[in-house]
Amino acid sequence: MTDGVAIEVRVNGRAVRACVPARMTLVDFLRERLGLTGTHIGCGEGLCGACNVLFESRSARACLMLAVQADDSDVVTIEGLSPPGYASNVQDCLVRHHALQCGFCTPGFVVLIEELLAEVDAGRRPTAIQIRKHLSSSLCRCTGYAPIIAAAEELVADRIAVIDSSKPQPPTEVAR
Amino acid sequence: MRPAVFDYVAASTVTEACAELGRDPDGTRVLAGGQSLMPRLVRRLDRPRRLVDICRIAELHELSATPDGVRMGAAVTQRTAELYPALRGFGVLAQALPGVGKVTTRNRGTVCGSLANANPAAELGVCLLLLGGEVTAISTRGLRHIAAEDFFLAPRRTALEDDELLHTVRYDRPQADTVGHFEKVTIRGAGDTPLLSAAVSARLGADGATDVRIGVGGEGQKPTRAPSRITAPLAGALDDPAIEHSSRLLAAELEFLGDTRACADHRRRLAIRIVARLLRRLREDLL
Repeated sequence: MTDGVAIEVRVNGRAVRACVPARMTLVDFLRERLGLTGTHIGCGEGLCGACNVLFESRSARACLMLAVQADDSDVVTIEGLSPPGYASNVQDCLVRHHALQCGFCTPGFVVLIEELLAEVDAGRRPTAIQIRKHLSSSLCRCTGYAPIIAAAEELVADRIAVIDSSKPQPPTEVAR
Repeated sequence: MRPAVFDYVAASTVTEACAELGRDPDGTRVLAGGQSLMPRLVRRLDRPRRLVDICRIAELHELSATPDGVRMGAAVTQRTAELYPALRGFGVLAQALPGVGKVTTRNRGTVCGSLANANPAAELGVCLLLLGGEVTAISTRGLRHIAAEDFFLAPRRTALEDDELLHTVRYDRPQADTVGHFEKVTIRGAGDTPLLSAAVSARLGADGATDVRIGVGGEGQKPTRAPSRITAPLAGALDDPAIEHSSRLLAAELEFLGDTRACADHRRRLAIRIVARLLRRLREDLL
């Protein structure tokens, strides 16, 4: 079992070829082979959400996936969610809300919020409770959840406003 | 790398997966979403010699609703099922799915995987018992259909043989006038493994409730549906004495176990409370 399995994964839009042991988890592959250390390992057992990545556009625990399962698939990590050296909208908003302190859980939350925003783009309109439930996938042990939820709610509301304002407006009474 | 060494086979057809399973049934595990299997591998509670990945088998991605029920192949994720518009007609199943695990585990975890794993408190098993349905298993020996009530043998043990692959599950469609309610109890809220899951349903008409069903599962007690001698007296107005009587009768038959999170007696009391609460909720739907 030393020979390994050949895989080809698209990570942050870039095709990567590698030969990995079958038992290597996706998070170990991202961190140790590709040096993408923004995806953190918390519990390593699927409980904490620090290792969330977007797998085929949906959030997944990278510690509960094998690298071989990602063969011929798209993976987006925290590094792929903002231009190098700059913060994304989501990250900016989290900072504005003081939604991080040590920042260990933050990449996982950013991934969750990006997934939520993609769902908004696809037409979903999550309620406050649905936003909370979505974010309950990850644990935070310092700032607490209130500012993280506030940031997510603001981002979702902003995204909905942008989508609605770009739609053709129904004629008003005056215009008619 | 925390899991122990194993071989990995990505099967591309059901035939291939069955052949792999048949070669070393004891040492081979089916890998679908892996959301139950991976934590066990990472903790080395399980050390299979080989994993057979079934996610690349197109036929196992079947998801279709018919007037009879909804069929889900072994590779259909809980999230895909949750977002499937036709699932709305399936009462308790549609209620339970959005609360299974966390969004990140539902994105990967499969409906059939949860059933095959047979955690007795799992939402999807209790729903299968309540709605009724059928599990299709396949092996090199051929297809086998297992009725929902015969599928769970004990906590974490199913009627599946070691060399069998759970191919498809069918959840029966409830009658149009059926109302159902699902509830589970967790200690830490969303995503926590439930202490127990419970569901009730009944057909509601002018003359009250008929076909009252109760399903319960929790540590020690495999998912089970209350026998008709317990549910039959509930037909009609679902009044308090009947509810009280039935839920106590039911709880006396449940064989919960204690673990680090709750003792057996706590689970039994919870079952009485939750079932009674759900039945009262049904009564409110009668009005």
